[in-house]
Amino acid sequence: MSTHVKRLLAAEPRTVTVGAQLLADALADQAAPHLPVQWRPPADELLPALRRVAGDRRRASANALAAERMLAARAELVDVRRAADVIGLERGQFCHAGPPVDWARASGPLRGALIGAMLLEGLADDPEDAARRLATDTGLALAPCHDHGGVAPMAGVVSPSMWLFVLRDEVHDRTTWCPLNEGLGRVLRYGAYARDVLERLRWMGEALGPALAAALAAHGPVDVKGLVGQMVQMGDEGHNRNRAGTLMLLRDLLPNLAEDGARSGAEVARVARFIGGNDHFFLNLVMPAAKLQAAAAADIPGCTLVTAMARNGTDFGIQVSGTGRRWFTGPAAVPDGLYFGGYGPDDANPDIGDSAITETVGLGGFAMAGAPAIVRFVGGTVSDAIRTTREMYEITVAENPAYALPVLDFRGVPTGIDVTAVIRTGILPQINTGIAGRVPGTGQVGAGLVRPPKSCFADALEALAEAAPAV
Amino acid sequence: MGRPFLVAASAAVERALVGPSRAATVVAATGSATYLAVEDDASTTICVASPTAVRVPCALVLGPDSTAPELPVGTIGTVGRGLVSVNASAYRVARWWRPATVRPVAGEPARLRAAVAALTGLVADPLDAAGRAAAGPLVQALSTGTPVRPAVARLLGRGPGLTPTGDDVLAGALVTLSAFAPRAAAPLAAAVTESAPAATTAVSAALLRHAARGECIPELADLLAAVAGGRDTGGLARAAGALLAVGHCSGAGLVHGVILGLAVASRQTPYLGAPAVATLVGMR
Amino acid sequence: MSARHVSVRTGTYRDSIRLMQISRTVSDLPGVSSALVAMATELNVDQAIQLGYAVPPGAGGNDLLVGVTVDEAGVLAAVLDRLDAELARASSPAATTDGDPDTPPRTVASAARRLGATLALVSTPGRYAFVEAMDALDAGLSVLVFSDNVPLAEEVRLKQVAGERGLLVMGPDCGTAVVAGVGLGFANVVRPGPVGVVAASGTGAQQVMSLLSGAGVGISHCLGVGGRDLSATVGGASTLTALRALDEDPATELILLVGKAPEPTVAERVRTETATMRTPVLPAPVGPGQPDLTAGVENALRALGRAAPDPWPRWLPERPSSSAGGALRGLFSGGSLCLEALAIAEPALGPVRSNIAVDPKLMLDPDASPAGHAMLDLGDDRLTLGRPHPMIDIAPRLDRLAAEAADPACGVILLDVVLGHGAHPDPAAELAPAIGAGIARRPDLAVVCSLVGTAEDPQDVDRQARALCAAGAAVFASNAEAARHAVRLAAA
Repeated sequence: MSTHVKRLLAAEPRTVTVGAQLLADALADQAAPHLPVQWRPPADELLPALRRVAGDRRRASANALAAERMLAARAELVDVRRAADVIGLERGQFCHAGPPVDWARASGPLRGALIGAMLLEGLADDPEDAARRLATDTGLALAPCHDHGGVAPMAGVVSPSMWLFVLRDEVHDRTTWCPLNEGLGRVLRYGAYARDVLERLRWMGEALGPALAAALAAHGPVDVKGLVGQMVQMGDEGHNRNRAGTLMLLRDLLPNLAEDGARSGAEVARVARFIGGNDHFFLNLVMPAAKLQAAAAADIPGCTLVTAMARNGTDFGIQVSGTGRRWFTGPAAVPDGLYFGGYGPDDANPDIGDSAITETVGLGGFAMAGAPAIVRFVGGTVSDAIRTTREMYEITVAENPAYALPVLDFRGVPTGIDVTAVIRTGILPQINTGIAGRVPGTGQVGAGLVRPPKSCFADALEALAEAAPAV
Repeated sequence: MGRPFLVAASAAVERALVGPSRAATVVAATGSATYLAVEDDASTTICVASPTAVRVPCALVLGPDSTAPELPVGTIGTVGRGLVSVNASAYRVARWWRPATVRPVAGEPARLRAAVAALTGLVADPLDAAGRAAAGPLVQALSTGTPVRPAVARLLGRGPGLTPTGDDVLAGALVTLSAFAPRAAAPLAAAVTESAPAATTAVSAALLRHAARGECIPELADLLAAVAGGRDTGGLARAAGALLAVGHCSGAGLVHGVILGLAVASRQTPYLGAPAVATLVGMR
Repeated sequence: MSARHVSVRTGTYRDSIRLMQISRTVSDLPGVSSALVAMATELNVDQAIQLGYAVPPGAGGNDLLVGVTVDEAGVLAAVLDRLDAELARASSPAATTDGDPDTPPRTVASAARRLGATLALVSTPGRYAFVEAMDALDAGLSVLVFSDNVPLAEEVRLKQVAGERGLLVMGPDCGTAVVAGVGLGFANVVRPGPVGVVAASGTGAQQVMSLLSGAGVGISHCLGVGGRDLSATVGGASTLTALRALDEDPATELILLVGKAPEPTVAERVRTETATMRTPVLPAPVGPGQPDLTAGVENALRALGRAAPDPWPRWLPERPSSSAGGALRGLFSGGSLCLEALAIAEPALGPVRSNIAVDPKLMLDPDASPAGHAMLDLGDDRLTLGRPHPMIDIAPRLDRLAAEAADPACGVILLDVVLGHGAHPDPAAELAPAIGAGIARRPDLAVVCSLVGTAEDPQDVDRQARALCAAGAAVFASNAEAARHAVRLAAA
């Protein structure tokens, strides 16, 4: 006999009610433990798909397996190398953030970043030349970072000479990557390509990358998952605030940097100053760690969990485990947030970057409760932040004990966004993000909050329904 | 008088609740539970309890969202006709629940001995020296069929609190024996129910009466089910952990009662020979 | 013999205060002489080495270091189990989060996590019920689907999945259940007792429980299975699960199987199942050619060695009706009560039209005014689409009552009144005036009521009975006795 039913009869039932208030009241009148769901009907046009997916017998175990893999995934920084060596990127090939996009539809910041990368790689003489070639030269190729198994923030443009962090998940035998973070203000990832931007990138290629590679080799792999677990208990949410993570990384690698006889004290100091002076340096490690978690859950038939959320400045795209690499896209929204002096919403580009991979695994906007220091920056109070995180538990299937939030009694961050829960509740994932300037070359103009278009999830649900056997 | 509080009442105290209205006195009050002694033939004690309170077999459990007013000890009210009325508050029976009740079950001695070993490591003996000194003779008396009354007398009422530790040990042993050695349970039940009213608090005496009928808190029933089901060390540790979390040290007393009962039921004699029981009686 | 354990766990970060608490808890366990649970910082590793632990090389500040020394090797496993439990507890979802008014649960799964639920009660409109019920099953809950108008294929799928996962699906269209004393849906207040009920009929189950309760016999559980469970398509899936569960339930001494007779293949399966069970199973079937529910209850009472009340409680008006003959018109809120009355009336009165008639020739159009004898089930799926059940909303029955009273061909009106949680809080307050008005206008009209309820139901069964009786209705606790009374009047 089933132990579940036996247990049901052995003790007073604890009942979830959904539907008629009257029947919940009847339980209240019996002093019986119960909890009503605040239910509202899903959109009727999505109901057939929802019913079909709900009836997919593979779904429960597929989602459980995906969640298990997401939580079990590890992330160790094992190497720092050039993109050409890591993913075989060749001259004239560029990666970019988000779902696929071509030059014609590319937004200002992405165009700016591509122009900068052309100049960096010596493929154009000046910005105008670069733009012309990008528009016409069929020898140039664009592909999403996700297609190459990696992630990159904002415009996310990666060219062969750029250095990448290489991360490993030994549990699932998977490797991913993310470029090194350039710092704040006018930088390539926000579409800036002025001389100082390119000079900084050259220095990163000549000095920073090799220095980090050497220090890492001496130190041995860095447990990024462990650092992320600590940073979320130190006020970082891993997307818009990475201060504690950055300093912990520096703490771990600085002794090895200093001991490296190949570099002068001044060179080591510059590296340390560069990392320590950029609160977002560690974002580019949180993102690939998140990518490893999400990738571990990918490609499970019947699974309705989101495995990527990414934007290219024009489109917002999601990928879902049960539908493989297919992108479900909709128009990217302009984030709602605060602007740096002199800028305003008119200067803002629509949402951009692969960094929403952090929200995909419960960090960033999902972990807002743990980052009270930035809640005003992204418009809100501490209680708003706590409410945001609590709301995200409504659309996720798991809680990650490795990333525990002290303010919620060490509850794990909400992990594993279920497409069906998004459609049923109408709650869209909350993303914390930086805001890029609309005009190529501007750089960052602010930071704020954004949600994906609902259509991405509706389309994903329809595709999951097509793939599900009929009830 | 406002709207009565709706309560889920234990079927174990049904007679007092549905019978004619009788006087009842508040005999004890903790933050989450108020005990009333009913002036009926069976000396019924009922407990008005918050939903998070320990689910004693005489509980009238309040609904999840209601907070009952505190009632000072000595307050006199009435119980009967489905209603409890004290001062300005009333509690109406909205439904009935059946308290956890153990039934005789075959317990393989090896399995019971393994459980003794597993449980013994989990918690320190809560009894004081005199209590420990009485535990050994109790096991011996139960195992050999000699009179248990002297050992019971040394345990009843021993220790502080609403349910003294000695009583908790006796209650744990009684319920355990009801499950695994009903024949050994009978003389212990007789001795305890007869001596308890004069030897310990009214509340504890009432709970011991329930224990003598195999009625207990769900955490204790769950632990015994884990023992009967041959659960592994981890499973027993989890079940015992839930029981240990009950009260200040009541859980520890009950667990020790269980160990004692299991030692008898597994015919683990002579009782001093086995290291587990040596620990139990304080010779570690 | 003392024993030592040392291990390094990667990817397990806990804050130091929590780790100190865990160290303390583990150190305090009997048989533990020392315990160290800390992040493997240099300082902590040094301390561990000084304590004599052989810390494996390569441990870093982001790893968790565990060192335990016990007096007796035998207790080590238990100590480590407890340690794991403590570590898991440090990160487990807070059980207290249901007290968060800002973010109420929005899905069954979320509410289930917050409450630590064991059961879900789904009463959304039928087309949404499948998604919610599947969510409940996916969350590991058994589920009661109160909703009607759920497609058959979805019912079959729910029960397949429940079967695979060892869960129980009650319904769809399950009107009542009692689980460990808690009433769900339309539920009468019953005391714990020896009779377990498996019911394919909601009001049938309520009738059975109310009669048993009136006879002083309590209920262990009442598990509804939905009206279609015993069809060949569904195959009795929930009935079999419920029977097995009650057979294993120590509180259940006798099982009553309430509802329409199963289809032959299903009946065979049920027979095979019950043959291997220790607990006796008695049928209380409803429908043409079947003994009535009251007879089923009397059977059960006999099996328990209890006497059945003879007669069952009844409240007869002081001035008996002067009616002789005329058409019998039934206005029911309970489908099984309607079916039972049909089965009693037809042999005596000949053909009776009904919206739930088995014979298509006798099918009654609920919108047309009937000719001859007729019985209407106002709780039928087709009549409840988009409106409350007639047990909650009495208005449709008041309209029908007035229409029948105005029809000179109608001689006897037969009604059911079902009490309990979820039902109308005071049905007699609405029905009695309407009955009184009908009889005042038509002194030859007879009104007969069956009253399903228990002494502890919130509506107070006795007060309801007296109010209906005072208005001129003959009131019976047994629906079968009410139907027979009505048939006698109509046939007079």
